[in-house]
Amino acid sequence: MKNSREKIFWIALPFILIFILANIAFGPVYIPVLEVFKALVGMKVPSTDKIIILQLRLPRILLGLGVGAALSVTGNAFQAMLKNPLADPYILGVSSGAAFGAILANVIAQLYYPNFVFYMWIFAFVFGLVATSLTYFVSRRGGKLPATELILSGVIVNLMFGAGVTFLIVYGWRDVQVTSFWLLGSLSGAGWHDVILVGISSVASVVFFMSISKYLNAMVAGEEEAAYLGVNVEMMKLMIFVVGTLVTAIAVSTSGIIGFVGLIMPHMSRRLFGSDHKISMPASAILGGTFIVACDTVARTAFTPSEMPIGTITALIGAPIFIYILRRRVQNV
Amino acid sequence: MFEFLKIENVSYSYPKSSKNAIDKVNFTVRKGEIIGVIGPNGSGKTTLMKSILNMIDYKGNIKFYDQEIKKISRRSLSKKIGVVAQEFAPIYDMKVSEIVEMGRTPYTNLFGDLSQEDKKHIEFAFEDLNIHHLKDRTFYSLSGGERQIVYVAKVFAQNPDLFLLDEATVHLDIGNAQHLLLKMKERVKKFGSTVISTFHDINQASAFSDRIIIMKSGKIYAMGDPEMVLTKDMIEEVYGANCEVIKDPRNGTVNVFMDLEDNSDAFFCDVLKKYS
Repeated sequence: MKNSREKIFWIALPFILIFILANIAFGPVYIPVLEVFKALVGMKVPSTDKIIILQLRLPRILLGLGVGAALSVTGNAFQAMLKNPLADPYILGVSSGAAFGAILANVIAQLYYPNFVFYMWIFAFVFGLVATSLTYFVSRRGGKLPATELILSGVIVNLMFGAGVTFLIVYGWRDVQVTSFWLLGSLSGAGWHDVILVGISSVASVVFFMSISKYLNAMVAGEEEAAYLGVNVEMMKLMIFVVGTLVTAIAVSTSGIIGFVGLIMPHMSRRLFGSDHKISMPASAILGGTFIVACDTVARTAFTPSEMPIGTITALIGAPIFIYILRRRVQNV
Repeated sequence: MFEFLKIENVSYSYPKSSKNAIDKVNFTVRKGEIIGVIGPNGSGKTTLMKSILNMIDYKGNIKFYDQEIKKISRRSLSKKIGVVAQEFAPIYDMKVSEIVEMGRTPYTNLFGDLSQEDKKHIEFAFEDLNIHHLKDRTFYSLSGGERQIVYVAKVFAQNPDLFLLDEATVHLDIGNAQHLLLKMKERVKKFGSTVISTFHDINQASAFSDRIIIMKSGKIYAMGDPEMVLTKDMIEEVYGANCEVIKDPRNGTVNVFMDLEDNSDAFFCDVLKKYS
């Protein structure tokens, strides 16, 4: 039984995908949109355009799509699991923990064992888990996670790992410039190998979270209510934590910390398509991906020849929306 | 004949607490029975409910359909036992139809697709509770009383044999409380369901239940027909409250009246003489 909101989503989907691909046209050099689509379907276009489209911009856009989708579905699942609409991998500190882990592996590789660079996302995953667990246990009050405590603990964990990131970079590279890539995120330098890793993990996470959507729906009313409906809550929480942290870690190790996507996109998808996770999961994946791609287009075109870190743009848009949700919540209580 | 629900020597103490929240509780429940559980705050009513739901690691035995509750999977248990707590408070606003459908969670496949059987039970829930007109409304646009009825509809859709009501009427006014309890009674008559319900309001418990369990400090203090156990002395011993107990002349239901006057004893005696 499909309801009307679900139909709207499936009708809007192809248009969204066309919009995403149209972003390839923009950059330091403008390539007409028609050329872009020609190149994508394999028709003949000038060879420089072809290289720009297929080797530079397409992987970057696909990476943005994957990263945005991964962060959004993770945020969406965390919100249901923690019964808190302000939860997201950035706010909870997963992202900065993961960034710290990724840089630690890089620094070890740089200074001691070059092979360590292959363990980058494993390090990111482990420190992402450390960060989430820390936020979780610091904010826990008698089995509950009050919004204020959760956000405050997230801020502290973020500051802590953020400082760790800067320390490692200065210690390892003696170059503060690199910090902005990690702390504010960037999709520059995206290659096809990044796309494959992020693509696989993002698609897998969307499928996973869709497959547990009925349990997430039940958890929206609280852990006890979910248990009354037959949900093995502790098992479910563990799986969401691990999967969410893993995909976030992979996203962060390719593109740094990009904040607020996981917070605002699930919120928006619920507004548009309803709160059933069966729809809000794929919807927030697509919206998150689109949002990152659009922000990245602004990041790399509006300030040529230099690039704005993408996290700056997502924060400029995300922070006011965060405030809006927070205010609305307080009024509701 | 099998025992529907048998509770044997069940004890539980919360971590960091030296005292047992429930202490060697014993009773059996027959199928189709309505049991009211009353007792002061902290007497162990909710802990008892949580034990029956296998939400806490109790000591002793709880047998449901002759099977130890701890050995029944959470999913199978949720097909047999439904819970109506004080209130239902999802973090996101949802459509009423979505909330009622949620009751089918234990039955549906991984993707939550509804079968004909699921749809039938959802339809019954809407029908029995008379809430078709609320179907497309959003949950938080409803009044408190309507929300609680929608919550009950969700649990009806779950189609359990045993309903546990944990102070389900505590936030409701008398009209909404009556509506909810009447609908539960109808359900019991129609499907032979069994109900165990905790109450703060002794008069609601008395009017609703076939049998009353009075709890004090984690132990069962008294158990039996409402007329038998709800006595002036009992209320005073358990709650420390000075009350008058009067039988409803129409149907014999006992009602408890709280004394706030020094001379109320005399007053009620007059009333009793007049009406009995």
